[in-house]
Amino acid sequence: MAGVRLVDLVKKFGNVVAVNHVSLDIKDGEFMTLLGPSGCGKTTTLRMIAGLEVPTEGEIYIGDRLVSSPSKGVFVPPEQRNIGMVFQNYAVWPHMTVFDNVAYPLKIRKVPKEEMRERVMRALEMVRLKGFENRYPHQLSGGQQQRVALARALVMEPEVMLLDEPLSNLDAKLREEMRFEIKELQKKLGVTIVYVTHDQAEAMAMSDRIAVMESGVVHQVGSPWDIYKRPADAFVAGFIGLANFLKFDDVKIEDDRAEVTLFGGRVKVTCAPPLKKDGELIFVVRPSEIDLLDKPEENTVPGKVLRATFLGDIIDYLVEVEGEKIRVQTKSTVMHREGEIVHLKITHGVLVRLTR
Amino acid sequence: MERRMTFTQVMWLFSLVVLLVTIAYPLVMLIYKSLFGERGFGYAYKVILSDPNTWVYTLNTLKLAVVVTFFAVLIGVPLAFLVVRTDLPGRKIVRFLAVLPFILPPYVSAIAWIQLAAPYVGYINRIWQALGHSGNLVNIYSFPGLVLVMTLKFYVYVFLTVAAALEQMDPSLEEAARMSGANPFRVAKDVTIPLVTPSIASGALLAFVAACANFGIPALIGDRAHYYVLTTRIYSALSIPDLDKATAYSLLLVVLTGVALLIQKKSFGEKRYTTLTGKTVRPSVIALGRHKGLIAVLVFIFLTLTSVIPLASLFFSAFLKNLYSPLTSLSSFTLANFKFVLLQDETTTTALRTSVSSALIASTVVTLFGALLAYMIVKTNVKGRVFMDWLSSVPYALPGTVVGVAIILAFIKTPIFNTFWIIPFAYFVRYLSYGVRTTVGSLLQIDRTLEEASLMCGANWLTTMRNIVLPLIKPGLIAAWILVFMPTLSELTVSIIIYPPNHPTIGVATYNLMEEGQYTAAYALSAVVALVVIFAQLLVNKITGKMGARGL
Repeated sequence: MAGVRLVDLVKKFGNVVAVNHVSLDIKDGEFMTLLGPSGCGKTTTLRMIAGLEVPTEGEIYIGDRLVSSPSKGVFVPPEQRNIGMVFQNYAVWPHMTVFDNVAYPLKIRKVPKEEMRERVMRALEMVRLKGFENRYPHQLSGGQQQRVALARALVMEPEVMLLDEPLSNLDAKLREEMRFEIKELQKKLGVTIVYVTHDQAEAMAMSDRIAVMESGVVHQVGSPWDIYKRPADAFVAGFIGLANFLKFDDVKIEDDRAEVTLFGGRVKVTCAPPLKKDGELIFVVRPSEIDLLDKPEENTVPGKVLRATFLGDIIDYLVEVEGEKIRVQTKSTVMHREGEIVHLKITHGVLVRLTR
Repeated sequence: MERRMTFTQVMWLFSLVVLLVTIAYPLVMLIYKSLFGERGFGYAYKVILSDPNTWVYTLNTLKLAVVVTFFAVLIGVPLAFLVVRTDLPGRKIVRFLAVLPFILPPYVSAIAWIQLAAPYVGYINRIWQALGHSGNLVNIYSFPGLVLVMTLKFYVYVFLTVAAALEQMDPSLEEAARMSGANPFRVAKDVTIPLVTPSIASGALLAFVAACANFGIPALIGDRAHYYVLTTRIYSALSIPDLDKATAYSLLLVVLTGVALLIQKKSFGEKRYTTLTGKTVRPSVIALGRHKGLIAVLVFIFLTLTSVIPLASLFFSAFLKNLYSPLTSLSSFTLANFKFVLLQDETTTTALRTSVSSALIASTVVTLFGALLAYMIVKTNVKGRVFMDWLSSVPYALPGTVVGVAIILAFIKTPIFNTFWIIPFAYFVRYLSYGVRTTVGSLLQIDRTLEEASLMCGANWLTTMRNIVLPLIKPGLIAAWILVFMPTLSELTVSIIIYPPNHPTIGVATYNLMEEGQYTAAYALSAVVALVVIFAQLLVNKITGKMGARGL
């Protein structure tokens, strides 16, 4: 088993910088997700680890082995990196049976027939495709094809597995099922996984750590908890979950906590301090971190309900407070009507940098 | 809605009658006459079985087509791979040069090679002799000459189908093999080649059919090499005239090409190998590395020899006073050949008029009637629309020579037969599928809801047609018109079989000039045709480029 280390990685396509000085230290056996909107450079980063793209600058290590370094003239071709990869569109070979697809990496490695058969069947069992080995891909559903791709990546017992949006072509229900299956497999095998997705729920559910990317740079690396609860900057806060960005009047920052003053001094909130104290800060509050009260209390501010949407277990409001529109989500115990005056109580929040 | 039903019914009846009379009837006559010919029941088949020459011509056709197909694959596959999958410089030019011989009428290609490689007078042999050698280095009037000209024309089928397959193949299929540990050669062997094999087979079968069905090249080159194939023998049988023999040969030719087309349809229709993912993919490009320069030079030398030089020297020859004029003297060159064919000679000027008016009429009628058929096929559920679709495509799938014979058999006794009108009529039959296919393509792009939205806005069916459907398919109609106009303008294969004595076409006139030995005049006429065809092709590229992939 091995970890993956990216050092100051840069990839340019012509004049376009797709990946801009990315450094990441992915630990042995870790499930690391590269998360970001399309075009953020996450897939390019993954393809550079695979060896399918040649970096413009920087270094890539798999375990202790340097596999890419333009400055040192090192480039190990993909077939010699011993990495398993699962592609977004499965890339299951249509002219081979399920068995032949999964056996291919072993055939290349000249594994003896008996052992090959045994290992292929074990891989197929792992992805719950036993009994399908003689089928052709066109006889399988999308979900089954993706399992074939997974088995093919697993069968060579790679040190590292790369998954490029493997679930995005599946329907919602199957997607959720496969999330847990992939996570289970990873736990069982202890393989290092680098996973690319634009789906934050997927990233939260599976990852040990998430690297949030945008425009070729990594904004933050951290556990799903940290990324959500302690976002480093406004982009991360906005990309992971819903967020209101509020300007504040004053702030006092201590080591483990901070206090912000909002709405002309009427509201004081104790919150988490920013991860980095330099640069312009903004106060982030999630819609679920605000309570709506009927009567004013200390530390509340009045607002008018512009829109109220009943979503079953929660109610989604848009409330106007001193010209600012604030999104609030409450449990559906009572429902305020549109036009009603409510009093907002901010219970939590976090200070983040406005820019990276 | 009531009105629409009756209108559709009238159009349905009209189309069905037209198709039955113009297409089904001649084809039925072809089969009928082969059974009940002028000399009694089954005579045609007796000819097939008893005359040893029949087998010679059939085997000649087969042998030629097989050898041509072999070389077409040998050239087309690597060239497609180089153009689509490598960083070969000038790939766009390579593509254009590869397709260039294909857009010229076959007889023009044949003539271009004849003036280049004919014994004694061809430039290659003149240079050879100028270097102090005696005799000829090459002789185009030979089996290898025939294979050369045909291969350079028909390898485009393999090239284009394989290039399309390579372009559409999902690159992650190959990347997955790399990640599995396969080196690039292994990837090519295990993934790329197996996946494009159906396309290679498909392109090869198309080249095979085209080689079997071609008339211009074996007529101009094969006959002088005493290499006779079915198409040229059908033509000579008709000039005797021996209709029974022509019918028998036609059926043999239909069997040969029909079997190949059926296999092609089956192998290509196989869904299993479809690797289209529906999203635009960037094919992965292989760096040729240090051999890049050498490969590029070889490719360009090949394409210069096959596409540029024959055409360039055809233009050059068109200005020659006569074939033996010394090339070093300026007085050997003249505009007289062009003046002769374009203005003076009665036959060629009549041919120009006949071909231009036939092409204008045929392309207009094909576009209009094709659009009508296409509308019924795509937008209605009238009875027999699948049959009508199929019927309209049959004459294009058949060899042109056979279509000509069928038209003779069916209409020889009608008043239109010995008039000018038989020519645009024959073109209509032969090229109807161009109009249908192109418009079907455009119509399929129009979602039903676009029309329904117009109906919901209160427009009736006719207004909807005029305001919604017609504007949307207009580019398709224009493309269909040009697609028919181009080949009919320079048509030879069908027209040489059915043309009335006083209405030769450009193709016929060119062929006759070559037969009569008026070579420089033939070169001038071919040069004009080549210019027009290349210009029209550029125009089509411009129009179809603007409308994207729609309908084509």
